Amino acid sequence: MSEPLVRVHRLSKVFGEGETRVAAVRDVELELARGEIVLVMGPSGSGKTTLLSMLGGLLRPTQGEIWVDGVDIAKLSEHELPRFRAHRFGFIFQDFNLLAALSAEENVEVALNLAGSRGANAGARARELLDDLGLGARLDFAADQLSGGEKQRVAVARAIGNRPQLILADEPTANLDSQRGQETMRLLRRLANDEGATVLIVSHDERLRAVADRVLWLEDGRFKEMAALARDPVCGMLVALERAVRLEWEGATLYFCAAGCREQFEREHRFNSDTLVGYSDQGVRR
Amino acid sequence: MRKSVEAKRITARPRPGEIVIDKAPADNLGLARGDTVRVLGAPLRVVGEVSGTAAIAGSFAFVNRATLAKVLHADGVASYVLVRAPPWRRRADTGQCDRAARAGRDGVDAAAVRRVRAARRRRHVDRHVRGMTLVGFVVGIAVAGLVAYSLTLSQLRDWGVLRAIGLTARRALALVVAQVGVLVVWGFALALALVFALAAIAPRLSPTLVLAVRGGDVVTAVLVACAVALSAALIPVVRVARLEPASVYRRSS
Repeated sequence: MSEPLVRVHRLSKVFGEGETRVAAVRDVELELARGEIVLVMGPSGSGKTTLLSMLGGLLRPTQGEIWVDGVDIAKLSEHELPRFRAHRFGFIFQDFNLLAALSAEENVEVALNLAGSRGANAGARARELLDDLGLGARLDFAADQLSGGEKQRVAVARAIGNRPQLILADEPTANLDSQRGQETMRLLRRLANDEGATVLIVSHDERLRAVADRVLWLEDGRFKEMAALARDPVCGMLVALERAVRLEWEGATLYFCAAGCREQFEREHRFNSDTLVGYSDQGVRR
Repeated sequence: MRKSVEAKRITARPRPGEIVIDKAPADNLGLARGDTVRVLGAPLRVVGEVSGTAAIAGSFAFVNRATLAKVLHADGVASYVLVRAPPWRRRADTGQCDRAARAGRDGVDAAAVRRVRAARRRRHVDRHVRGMTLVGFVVGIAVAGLVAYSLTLSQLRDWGVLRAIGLTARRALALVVAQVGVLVVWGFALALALVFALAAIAPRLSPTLVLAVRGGDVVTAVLVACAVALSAALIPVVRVARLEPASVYRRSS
């Protein structure tokens, strides 16, 4: 088995001091194989974005090691980090974050320029990438003239322009309709297969489970076993078993995120036990 | 820009009973060479023109000393002293003139002393002009700084994205300064074009309005613009320097 691309050891991030102290990420251990797609899910405020920021070298950890292809990026200087980011990482953002003043082609070229590719070479590479993503006719369009799906494809082109080893995607489908979301998912899968890139996705979008090789659940700054999670049959949220509200129902145990969901379930199913069957795979532990 | 009041071209030397007047009032009054104009009741024949002496408050006319004595009914009295000296000697010569006037020598009388004192007042006014220039400089910095700051603030997310995808802090700061520099250069170019346009148009609208643009003034203005650009870039530079690349993950809505 080959050496993992990313190895994270006892990674922690603490914000504030004293009474305002918040441990956003706590002693996280993580390994990402080359060409693997890993989806990190979890409730809001669980530390997903903090973890993503640290893995991308955008935020210094309070403690721990982040080894990317044999380099501990937690120890790189402020001078070395930007260069490392430009060459090794690709970033995909929820809000696309294209530079509004530039065209689609220029947005991609900027990333290439920052990694040292300039002039005609950068231009040709940018056009090739955009053409490959079906944006050949949109090269000169300003960012705000593009649709959401097109913006995301430009953002993907910018992210993969320098052939990064690790692509970090923050809610890549959140601002897209279902068709564009599916397109982005297929694109991420293709990047992992064709380019051999490792893709770490942070998202609430359940659809992304379909393209992920692994799904991790982050809660309170720590990874939890997916096996120890159950889906609330009312709201659909994944809930940790030890903190869930329980209900014994026809010989099975149901898990809810809150008492309100359990009450709603009881009201709806008091006279109709058939409905329960539809949720039995996800929300019921027998 | 300082307005220079000096005769640029005198087309004739007036003899007794003759006068040389500025082109601007001549045009206003419809006077031409050979016409007669009455000055304090005395008829004087226009024999030439001078340009560049007209201002909003009035203009200069030239007669010879005998004519002036006759017109003013003040024979043997000099009412005006024209002193021309190289710039580096001007102050010293004016001082000599002042001393000569006080001593009553060379026919220089109290009127001449008043003129010299007026010159001193002009120097005093120059100080005010310098003060106003300083105020203008400060206002220029404030306006350019505000525009640069607003621009940087509106692009803060873009700067965050650029930092995230590999732009070094040092290069980001250089780009901010360059951006403000371009802003000031454009502003300066626009202002300069406006000044040249005004200098060309103003005398046509009103001959008493003269706007002189000198090379030295332009160079000074360029240096001032550079200083304004650097000063105006200070706050945006600090703002971008403090920007954390991780801020790019903050939601815009």
